[in-house]
Amino acid sequence: MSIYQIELGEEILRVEGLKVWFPVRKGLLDTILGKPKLYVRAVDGVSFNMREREIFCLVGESGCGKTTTGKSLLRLVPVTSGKALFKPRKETMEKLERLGVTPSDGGWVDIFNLPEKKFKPVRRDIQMIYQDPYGSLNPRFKIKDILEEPLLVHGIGGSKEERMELIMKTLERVKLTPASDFVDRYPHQLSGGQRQRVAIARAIISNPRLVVADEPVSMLDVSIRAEILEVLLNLRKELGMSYLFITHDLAIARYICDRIAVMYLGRIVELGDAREIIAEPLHPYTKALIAAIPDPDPKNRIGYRYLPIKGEVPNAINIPPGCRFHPRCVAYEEAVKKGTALKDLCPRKEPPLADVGNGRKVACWLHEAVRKAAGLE
Amino acid sequence: MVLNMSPQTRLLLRKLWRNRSFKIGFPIVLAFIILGLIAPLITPYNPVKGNLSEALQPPSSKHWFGTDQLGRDIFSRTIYGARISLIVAFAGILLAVIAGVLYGAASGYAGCNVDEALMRIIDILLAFPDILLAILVAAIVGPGLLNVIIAVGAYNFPQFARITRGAVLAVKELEYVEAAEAIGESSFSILFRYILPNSMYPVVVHGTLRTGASILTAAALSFLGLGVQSPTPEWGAMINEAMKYLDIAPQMWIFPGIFLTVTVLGFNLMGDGLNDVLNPKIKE
Repeated sequence: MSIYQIELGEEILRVEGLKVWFPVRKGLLDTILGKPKLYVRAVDGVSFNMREREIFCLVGESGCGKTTTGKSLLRLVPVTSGKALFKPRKETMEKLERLGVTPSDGGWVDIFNLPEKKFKPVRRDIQMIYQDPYGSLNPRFKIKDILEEPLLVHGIGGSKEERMELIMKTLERVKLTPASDFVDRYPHQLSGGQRQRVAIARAIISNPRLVVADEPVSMLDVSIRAEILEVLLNLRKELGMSYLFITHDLAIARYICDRIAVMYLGRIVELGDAREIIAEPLHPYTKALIAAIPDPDPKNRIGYRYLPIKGEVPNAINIPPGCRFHPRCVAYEEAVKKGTALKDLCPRKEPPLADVGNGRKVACWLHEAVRKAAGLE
Repeated sequence: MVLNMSPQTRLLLRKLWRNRSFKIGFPIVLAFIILGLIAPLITPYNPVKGNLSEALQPPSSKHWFGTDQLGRDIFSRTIYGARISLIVAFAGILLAVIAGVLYGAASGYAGCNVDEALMRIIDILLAFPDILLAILVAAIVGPGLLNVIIAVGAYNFPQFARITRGAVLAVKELEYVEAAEAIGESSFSILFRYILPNSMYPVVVHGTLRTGASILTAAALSFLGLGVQSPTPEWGAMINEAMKYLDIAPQMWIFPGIFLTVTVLGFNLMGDGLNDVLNPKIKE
């Protein structure tokens, strides 16, 4: 639970078995020799759900598929398989029904299963904030043009005056005040923090239900990170959107997120309440991540700290068999030394993400609940 | 108009003005453009009508650059020649830019197999030496002013297609393009309002450099008899005629030759200057 705890609403998103595999381009020689087609398995079977006003965090090292997972919800990457059931707002639903989309019981729409034309109205409800505020704004548009685009595309605000009013209001919401000072400027005239506020304004101007925030503060100066996070939290309070918050920084995750999902090589290995996971991690990988958080107290810096993890991330083309974490796992190493049953299980069978009670899930054979869920005990 | 410039443009202009190549090249080009525009006002004689009794005269106060074998005033012809050369070069490059940018943008934006197919065609065209391609096109469409423009456009086109495609490929991966996709912009809008305006710098630089080269090519075509035909005052055609009087009337080739060289030099210096300023990879 975040320290900015607020009441969560109904469920609005259910992702089930999401897979995003990018084919590796083969050379001519490989084609002639009939080598099998290889895939980068960026996201390899991810399931989670989100509620209204929830801040759900995906954490993991770079290359673990967290950004790809986020982008797939906006259909910016080709989805290989899986479902994403989303509950659009009422107006969007009406638009969709006019286009001939029938929602399932409870108003769910599978956004991966819509043709692009029918997905367009949903884009208003799912928006994205990018990591790099220097790259995410068109350098040739003034701030007001950048913010007017979503309104024009989705037909929000009937007249130019109405749109300008909305733009002003949104700029004030992200604390770019006075708004009239900013509308006629170009992105390169703003600082990084100001640009990121513009990017946030662009994402929220259409009043979305879900915002995918891809490391929105990691490229900013530390001194303005807190301000930007504050803006995001205030917006959630005022407008009631949910955030899929992508970060590699567990400290930030703990600060603002309700729940955390830890990803490793394209899969969620642990999921649950943010503070509980950080206080008491269950998966060996999560333990290693938490051990790597820098300690602000200089007294604790006695030589090198021991990190309970080995080696480096394998590449996503040749994912290790069985539990994909086992070659780096300290617990597995111990099991091999002691000769316990896990020594054969880990490299052979992939653990499912199983409920261990209290809303927490983990995918590791160390836990009895996981072995039971797989029918092994 | 000046007041409406974005600060970005203003900064660019200031940088340009501080660039030495641009500072020399731009006035030369400007001078030739003005010369071409006001040619009828400053030329003392009709450039195509000659007076046979005054044929092959050396430079004098009456005929500043002398006369040719038909007694036409070389000064007037050379000044008018600036007009023809600039028209051919500008129109030809414009044609090449329009066709090349559209072709390259389509190729780069579509990507994958479309890109492969379209670029292999460009590879074939680029494999020809420049002048050969121009001669080929000129030979097919025949001589004449309009046809030289087409030939200049056609032989420059593959380069612009390749350059635009490269720039589009780079810009298309930028985050603001993906962000435009995320808000639901149409492909048309993304290509023409987000990608192309941000891919134009290399095209502008190359356009300037190629304008100089195209003046040379146009002159070469005329020199070979494939371009603008006599009696139209064109530098290449004039130099061709001068060949027969190489030693007895050197004024016939010296003056158009000097003008040709200086114009091309002007365009090249200007293009280099633009490249220095616009290419972000070159730092002073």
